[in-house]
Amino acid sequence: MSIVDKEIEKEALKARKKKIKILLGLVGLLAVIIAVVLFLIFNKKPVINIIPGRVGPPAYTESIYGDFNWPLGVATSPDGGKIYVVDSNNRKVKMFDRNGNAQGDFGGEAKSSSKQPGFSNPLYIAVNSKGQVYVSDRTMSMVSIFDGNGKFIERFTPRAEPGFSWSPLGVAFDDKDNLYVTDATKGKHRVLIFDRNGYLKLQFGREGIGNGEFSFPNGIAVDKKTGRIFVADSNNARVQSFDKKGKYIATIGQAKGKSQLSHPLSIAISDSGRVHVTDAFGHNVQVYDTNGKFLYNFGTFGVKEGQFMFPTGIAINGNRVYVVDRENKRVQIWEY
Amino acid sequence: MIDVRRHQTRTETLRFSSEARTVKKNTTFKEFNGMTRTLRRVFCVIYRRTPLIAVLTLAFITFTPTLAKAASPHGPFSSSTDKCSTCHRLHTGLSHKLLPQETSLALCQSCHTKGTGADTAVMQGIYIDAQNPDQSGGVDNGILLGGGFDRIGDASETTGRHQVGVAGTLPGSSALATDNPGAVITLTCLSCHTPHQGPNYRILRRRPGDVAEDVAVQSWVGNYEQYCEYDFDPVTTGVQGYTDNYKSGIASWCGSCHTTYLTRVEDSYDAGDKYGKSTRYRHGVDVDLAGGRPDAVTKVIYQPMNTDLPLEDLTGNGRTPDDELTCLSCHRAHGTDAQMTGWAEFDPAERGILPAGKDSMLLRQNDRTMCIKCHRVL
Repeated sequence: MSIVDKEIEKEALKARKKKIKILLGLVGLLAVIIAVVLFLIFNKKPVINIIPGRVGPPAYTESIYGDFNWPLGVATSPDGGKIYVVDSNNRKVKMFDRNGNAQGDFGGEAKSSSKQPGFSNPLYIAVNSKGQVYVSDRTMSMVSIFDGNGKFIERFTPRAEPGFSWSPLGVAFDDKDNLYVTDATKGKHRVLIFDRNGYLKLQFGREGIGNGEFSFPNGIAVDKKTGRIFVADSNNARVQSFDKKGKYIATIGQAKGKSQLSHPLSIAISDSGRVHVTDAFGHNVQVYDTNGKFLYNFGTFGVKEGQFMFPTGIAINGNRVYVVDRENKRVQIWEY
Repeated sequence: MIDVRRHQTRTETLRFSSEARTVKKNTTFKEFNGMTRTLRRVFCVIYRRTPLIAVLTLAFITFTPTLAKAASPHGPFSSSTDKCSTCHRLHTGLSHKLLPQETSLALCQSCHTKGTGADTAVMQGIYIDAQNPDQSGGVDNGILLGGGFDRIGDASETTGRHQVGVAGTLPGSSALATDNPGAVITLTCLSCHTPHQGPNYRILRRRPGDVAEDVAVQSWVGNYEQYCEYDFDPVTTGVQGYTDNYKSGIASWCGSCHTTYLTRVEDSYDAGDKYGKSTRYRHGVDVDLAGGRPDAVTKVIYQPMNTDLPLEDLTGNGRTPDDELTCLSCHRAHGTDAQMTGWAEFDPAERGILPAGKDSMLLRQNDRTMCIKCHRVL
């Protein structure tokens, strides 16, 4: 090979190296761009005013007074046109339209046969996507199912292991209509998840004070976007979150200060992912994001409008928040 | 990782017990010294103690749930406890006891009414037990030994109760009412119970009615057990019906408020009725089934061993003649659904003691059927 050829080959080699460098640079740039895009996608800062109409806490609008005696749970029909309130001491579920007009009631005192409708101590309530109403009754160890107009359908029959017993408190549904129940059976405080046919598909938790353990779990809610499960661990004064497989994620409401919970009872999650928790001994509603970051609270102790005395149940439909105000015997309506 | 088992096999005399701590020389272990030997010893000890460690681990796993059940706001309390904040607000309390409510009643009811925070539903008078099915496919919740304030289970409303949260009239003279029979007082849950634990059965206050000295109430089952009538094990107790869980002190405790009912069976006092101060006789308490009290005016014939009424078992030897009748043998502490009819029907107003209205006076059973549970009448 002549010297010229060698020079040519040398130049060609240089050119190839340059091309490779340029190519690598482009690949690196592309990687950086992809990384930046992915970062922006997965670390998107929440929009503060997701719910149209209001930034920050909702505003009190009005209350429903329905001759309640120890009201506890509240829920709405899927379209928000009907409000269901568990009037526990009267052993009824009372129905109201969106304007607060009474629409009748259902339930009544339990008969001796468990196959008949009726309550002993109705507690919490949830409505599935079909508009069917589920009401828990710990004393009778049952969850009753009614249609949207209050017609009794049947008792929910848990399909689980032989000898299964439960002591149901809170009830909720996910977007697939799986039924989530908090259970306060002595020594077994836990979460039960049933599929639409009543088969027990998952249970987790036990009685205790550690992560993933409960002491009288009451309210339960599922974030329909992430599938995360939030449980009001009432006697442990906290809310715990879990993934859809029941794996413990975080504890909410135990940091000192405004975010602290005293006796959380019920949970409702807005479409924007704000986790609303009634704090019965704090006499307010605490609001967190789904990661447990405290956002704000609303309500104070008292008997005036917008004040609470032992808030219990909570439900959200659209921009409306319904809060059961137990000792004031009313359901307050707040709006975003 | 060191194969401890192999080394142990090679070393026949290797023992780390108190009898033989010397490691024989000229064995595989001789090349190890200092820390290495110590490490091997630790592994060997762990290996040799494997069964013990396994048992301890199993025990830990088994009992951890029990140990973890410490979420009751009633204690126990420690220097690092956070339980005070459950019921108290240091700077923002709404009552003089720094409670997050103006009265204690609503606070107590939050957990003890619907079963949302406790198994004892005291307003309804039941102990909720999902693991106790009844014949209809539901559950058979036990009736609380103390009964309920509003109802007795699902069956019926109470016909007599200790008035809580509203003004009521106190039968008999009382330390609470400055020896004024028929005085009007307002009881709260805290009149009888302390939410902070204590030495007494069922977290009863040490000094009911603010008496000068502590009044001890003891049972055989501890402070937090045996809440309801059926909640006992007939295999171990051999008794059907009420559990013999009371040990001592109940009459003295009740008598701290109802003072005249604890004095001698024959005594002179003003019962607040038309007879004014005159000699009064009353059924004795702390009466053993065998012979009654030494100061008894009359003695009756008993068939006490057949009674299903709860008694105080001082010695813990089961139902024996030395068991004693106490206030709760005939009365419930919270409320009762017993019906009083005919001769047994009682209007307290007729005696000038209580407001008009039929009242079962917290008696456990209909009419006066408790009488023949002890007294032979045929």
